[in-house]
Amino acid sequence: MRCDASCYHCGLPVPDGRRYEVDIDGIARAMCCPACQAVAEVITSGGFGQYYQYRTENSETPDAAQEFAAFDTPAFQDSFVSREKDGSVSVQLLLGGIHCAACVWLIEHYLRQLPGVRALRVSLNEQQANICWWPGQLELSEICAAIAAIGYQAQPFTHNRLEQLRDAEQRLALRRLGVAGIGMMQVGMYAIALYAGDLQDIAVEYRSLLRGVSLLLTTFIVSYAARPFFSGAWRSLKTRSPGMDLPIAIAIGLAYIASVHATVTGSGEVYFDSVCMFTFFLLCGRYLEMRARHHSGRLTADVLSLLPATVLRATPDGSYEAIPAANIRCADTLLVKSGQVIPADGRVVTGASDVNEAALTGEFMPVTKQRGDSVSAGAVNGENPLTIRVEAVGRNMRVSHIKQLLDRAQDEKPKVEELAQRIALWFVLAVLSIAAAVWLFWHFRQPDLALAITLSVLVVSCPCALSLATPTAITAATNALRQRGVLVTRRAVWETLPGLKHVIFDKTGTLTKGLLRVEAVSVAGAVDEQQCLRIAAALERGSNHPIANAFGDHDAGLQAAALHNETGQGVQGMVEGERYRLGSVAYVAGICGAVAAESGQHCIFLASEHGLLARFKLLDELRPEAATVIRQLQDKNLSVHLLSGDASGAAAVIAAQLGIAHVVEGAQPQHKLDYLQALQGNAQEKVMMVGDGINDIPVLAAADVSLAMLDASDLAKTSADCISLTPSLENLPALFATANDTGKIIRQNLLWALLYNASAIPLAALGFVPPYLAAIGMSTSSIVVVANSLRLCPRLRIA
Amino acid sequence: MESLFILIPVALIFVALAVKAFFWAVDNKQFDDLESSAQNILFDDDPQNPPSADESTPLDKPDD
Repeated sequence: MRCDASCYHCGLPVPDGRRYEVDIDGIARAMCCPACQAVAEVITSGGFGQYYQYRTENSETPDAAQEFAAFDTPAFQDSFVSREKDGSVSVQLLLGGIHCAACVWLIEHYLRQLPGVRALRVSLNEQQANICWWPGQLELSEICAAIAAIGYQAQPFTHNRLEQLRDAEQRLALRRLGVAGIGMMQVGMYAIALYAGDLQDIAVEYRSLLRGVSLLLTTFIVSYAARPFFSGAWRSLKTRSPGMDLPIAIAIGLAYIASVHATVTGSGEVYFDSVCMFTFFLLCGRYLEMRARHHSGRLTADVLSLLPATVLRATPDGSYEAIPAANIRCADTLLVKSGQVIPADGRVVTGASDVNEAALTGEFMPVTKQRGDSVSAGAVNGENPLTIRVEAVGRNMRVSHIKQLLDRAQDEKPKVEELAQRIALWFVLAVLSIAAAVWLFWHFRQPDLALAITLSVLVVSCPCALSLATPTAITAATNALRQRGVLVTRRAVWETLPGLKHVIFDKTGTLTKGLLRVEAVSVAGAVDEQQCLRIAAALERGSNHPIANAFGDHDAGLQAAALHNETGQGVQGMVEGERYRLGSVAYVAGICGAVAAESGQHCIFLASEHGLLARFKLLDELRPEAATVIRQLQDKNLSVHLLSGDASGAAAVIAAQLGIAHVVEGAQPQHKLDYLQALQGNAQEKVMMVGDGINDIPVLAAADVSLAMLDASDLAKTSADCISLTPSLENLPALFATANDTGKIIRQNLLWALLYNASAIPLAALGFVPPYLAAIGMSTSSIVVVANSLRLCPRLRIA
Repeated sequence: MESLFILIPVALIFVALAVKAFFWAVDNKQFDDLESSAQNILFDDDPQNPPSADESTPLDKPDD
């Protein structure tokens, strides 16, 4: 039976007239291509068909077959595989294509049935698998092949130093958070007993016991969980740039010392509960923020990871051997099969193929490469195999040059000073001088009360509310935006957005969809428009070329035979007994004689032996929401720029269509960076960059704020401050709106914190604030701030 | 009320044990992937294929 029109495995449309089907749980499901079919067959025949019920997202379209043989060579194993004492070996694999828990389930269950697997763990969050197996029974290449067979890509890797540090940081932060949480609950319990005891005249020995136990627990929390605040404060003192850590450290430190003093002397008041609660709240915010930061950092963070791990090198006897990519040397001759990534810069020796250089230029239209043409590492080979002679490896490759630009851009990125940080210093100075004045006053008036009252001033002025004001608002806004489809990974975004002056867009893939569509058909022969489109679709059906995809919508199931693809020219084939050619003017002229037709950007022609039939004008479609979004931005008095790597004139057309005044075409990554820095240098104006390609990376990194689109490469996402989680530009106005609200909430929070302090400090200075009021006041002011921030979260309600 | 002098130190021992258990869990990557473990329990192993279901007990710790 026929099912839905989209591929059951990857969700892409199934071309009509083609039958790839797999029987899943008794129902024949349509597949779009042989690769999906093969993967689905492996999954169901292994008894894992229920994967399709569990998954929450479509699977990825599987890649072309890969070579894994080189993974078993000693040179490769030395760098990736570690040997255990009992003779087993283990490896870490980076997994591509896992989206949901069902993927984890499938990979774990599928690999576990391989003979010789000792232990394995797959992490969805880190997109990694940790596999331990017995050598002899199983080889690494077999494991990777098994993972590829069920539609995922596996690449061995070693944790680099940065990742190890990040893991350690995350683990330590979690430990601190846990200690603060457990401790807070304990100390809070004793605090209730103490407050109740104050009202009911608790016996001194029990009060001392409860205070002593609280002291013990709080000492552990302050010395372990709150350490980052103290080290941060110390660092900021040394560098003379006081930040928020300083008032936090002073507050925690003084409240703790005052409480210790009270416990030891058996007089005064203790604030252990406040210390613990404050520490826990702040650690919560910092932990969430760190997780968001690490999430984007975990995406493949190295340009070189775009390149394949193994390559095929020609040996002197004319055959090819698989070697690790790290062993490529200049003047090696490499074979790059169809669909593979070119591993090093070089020159084509034999073969001719369309090569997609999107990694370097951002443009999706492939470039035809023939003998003698140079090719760049990171480009994807199209339909035919190429052999290339290597001319540059490692740092000298053009793609590595982008990495160097990126490093420079990150260094030069303007620093943002947060509002709370600017207030912090003045706040600390003010509180300390008031405390000093209070102490002096009481020292001459009633010396025995001076210390207690001074401490209560310091504790009451505890900058809890002040230091919670910004982080809670930012945490809430980050969560709210994530629900609306934008992941914000750097907090500076919130401070920068309101003062923004310029927004720069990339063209292909950002303002446009990065997909060709048939825009206009001009019929030249006797065949009508629909039939021309159907014939073209039949001819292009087997191809992955972007032009071929444009005709996918018009496929009506006509069968094409004797297809012949002429690289860079077009395609020829027989449809219903007639010979057709689809391609450039020169190519179709080969069967129908000279053609007198106007050519142009993305124009292709269809002809039969009787003459020209039609001219198709193809267009990279604008995103439907682009015009509205640009107008909204211009209404906010932002100047909008368009920077495109495309030199064909299409950018100017789009700019005119959208009303964008500033356009630069044919811009290299270097030019884009220069353009941005010229804007930034111009009166210190703040600039936002919206882009998606690897060629945009340096600009994304250097801009004051940057947004990477959903389809952007991982590296672009790592360099950007925000990542769009849906394929729509409408996230941009949402980002601005939320940033506005966040700024408002932060100001309200700061105002409240300052008002609270302004009223509480004078009362404390006069000796009117009993400890339970101080505790209630501090908690209330913090809760007000947290509750106010939660207003930013649409779905969250305060319990 | 004198029992407090024994009960509170006992409670402290429990707190120490709780912290130790928490540290153990963090070091064993129990918190690294909260999402897939939470959903994994909902995935039945194939009912028509019980032997493979029995073998797939969760692994505790890969030796890395």
